[in-house]
Amino acid sequence: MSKRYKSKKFLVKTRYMILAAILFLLALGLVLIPKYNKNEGIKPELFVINAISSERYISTDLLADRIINQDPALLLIDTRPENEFNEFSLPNAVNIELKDFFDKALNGYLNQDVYDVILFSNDNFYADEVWMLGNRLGYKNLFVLKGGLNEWFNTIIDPKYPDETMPREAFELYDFRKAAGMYFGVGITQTQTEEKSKPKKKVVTAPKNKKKVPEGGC
Amino acid sequence: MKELERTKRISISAVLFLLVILIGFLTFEKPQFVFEKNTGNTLEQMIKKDYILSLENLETLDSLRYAIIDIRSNFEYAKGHIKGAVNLSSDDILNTKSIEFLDDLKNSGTSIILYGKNPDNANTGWLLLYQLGYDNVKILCVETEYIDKNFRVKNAPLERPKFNFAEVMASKKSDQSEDVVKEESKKKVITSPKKKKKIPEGGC
Repeated sequence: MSKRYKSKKFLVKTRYMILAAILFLLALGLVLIPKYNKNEGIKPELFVINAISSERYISTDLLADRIINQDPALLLIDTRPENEFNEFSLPNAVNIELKDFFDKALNGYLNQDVYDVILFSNDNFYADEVWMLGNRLGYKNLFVLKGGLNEWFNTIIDPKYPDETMPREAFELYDFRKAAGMYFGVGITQTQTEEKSKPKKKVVTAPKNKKKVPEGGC
Repeated sequence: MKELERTKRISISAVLFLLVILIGFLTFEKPQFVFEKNTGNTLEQMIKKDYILSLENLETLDSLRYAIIDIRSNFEYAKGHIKGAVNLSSDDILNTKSIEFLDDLKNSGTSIILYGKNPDNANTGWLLLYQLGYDNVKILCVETEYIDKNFRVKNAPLERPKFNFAEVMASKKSDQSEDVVKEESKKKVITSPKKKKKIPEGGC
């Protein structure tokens, strides 16, 4: 009895100490937990899904349409080197090279959710690289101009006249591209469609009755 | 009595605390894939661009030291591929089988050379694998096509402008200015205002 009582008393007395010891041991255990790398940005699985999808590409025609309609949510970013940017770029584009990705002043253009950012370069490569980094970090609203400036010049600035056998849509697209080209500063030259002017409707004019000259008379 | 109640409460809360920790440990699921490289490292490597090979570079390498991987779809691969290439389509690249294969290559010190339909596709694969920690990956900067029952591979120049953009724009603009000049150079013909014939007025 006395022994039991003693051990109970001991337990009651040392209860706090035992609890503290357990917690202390647990805290020590945390040190032993293997190092766990936390993902920076999105998960690899999601990264692959986004990267394989072609949703990020925007066609030159769609971009031209949006620029002409003065879409306020459009932000063009030129990812080519500075000297190329200075020679020529799309209207109102901002120059952000891949190496400036984390530049404090420029990163704000990429990491935001107000504008639709259209990345472009000579072809897709540089723009795609910037997009991929943005994708990793979960940036939204980033798009890539499909084919880049090369495609822009092939389609908008210098479109090819469609073959006679092509569907009507091809001709409509050609007309759109020609018109868009003019908006971007291509000289107004006679287009072939204008040469092939539609047969004019014959206007049948009813012979007007000549007004009789008021004859002087008495 | 009060003292006893207090100790009871403390021990109950301590047990609950331990339980929460235990549940946390048991339900913790270790993600299968974790990016080992952060974006800063990746960006540095991307700027260096020393992972891009051309066909000529490939010929100079010892063929026992690398494995070529085709990241196009199985269908495209079946139609034609580079000799000795293994197909690991980019949709399946995170499968356990593919990862085991890639791990084997990495552990044996073999470098991995990726190619796809164009350099952009190969670059996607490179970026994924590099960030996952495979630093033995390179890409082949080629375009592949299947034309006339032939599989063709050719070097693809990266980011080469097909036009001199500024010049093209200037010439296009000059078309316009020439037109304007032409218009201006027309001699102005001064036409003397024709006298209107007066309508003979009726008079009395």
